[in-house]
Amino acid sequence: MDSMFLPLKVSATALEAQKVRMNVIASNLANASSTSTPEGGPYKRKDVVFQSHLFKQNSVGVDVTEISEDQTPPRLVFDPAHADADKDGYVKYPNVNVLTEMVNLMTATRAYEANLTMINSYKDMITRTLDILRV
Amino acid sequence: MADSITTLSNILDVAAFRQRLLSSNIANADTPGYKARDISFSEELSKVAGSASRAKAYEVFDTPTALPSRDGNTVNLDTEMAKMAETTLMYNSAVAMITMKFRMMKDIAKGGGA
Repeated sequence: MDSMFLPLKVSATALEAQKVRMNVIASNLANASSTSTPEGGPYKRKDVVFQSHLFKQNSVGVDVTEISEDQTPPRLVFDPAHADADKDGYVKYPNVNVLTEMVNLMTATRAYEANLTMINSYKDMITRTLDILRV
Repeated sequence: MADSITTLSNILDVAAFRQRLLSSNIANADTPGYKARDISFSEELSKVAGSASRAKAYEVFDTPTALPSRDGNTVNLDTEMAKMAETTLMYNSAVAMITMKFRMMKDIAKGGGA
């Protein structure tokens, strides 16, 4: 019985993982111009790390194991009037590329939809199987 | 009569198992290093065709890909979705046929009347 519903569980872990990814992307987009953070320095782009999660042989879900910080250097913009400008007049802007984030967001949305389709179609299969009892 | 029900339930077994593999593949479409896996629907069916036995062990293989992505992932989401649709249809039609079979048996048991 447990293995009958396992594909639903597998797809649910993927929905969860893609949602975390979308949250992270939303934070990146929201902070694309945050030049200061409580930790000091500009906002650093974040990314999720996916890892497969073995439920049982042949049923492999996915987990977010870590939200990592992108270590690429910040973007320097010359703007001496800015409050966060250094002594040479340069402001450190976050290493967020809005285009990259939008592409990642689209990928995450598509992956989310694919797993949702899987859940619906598998649920339909189980329902039809139970309907055999109604003959 | 009983034979065709065994055959149909074998189709259900194989389709349900394949669906399990495909759900794992779709779930791991973005997991670095994950290898997509699959079974051959027709081969698994022909193994048990004609016999009254049920399929037990399936021959799972890594899905061949022409172009693995740079992180080593071999899942092609579009292919997997197409396979999933195919497997769902296969499963649903077997269920429909089993249902019809049972309905016929019921009608016969009732003496053909409604």
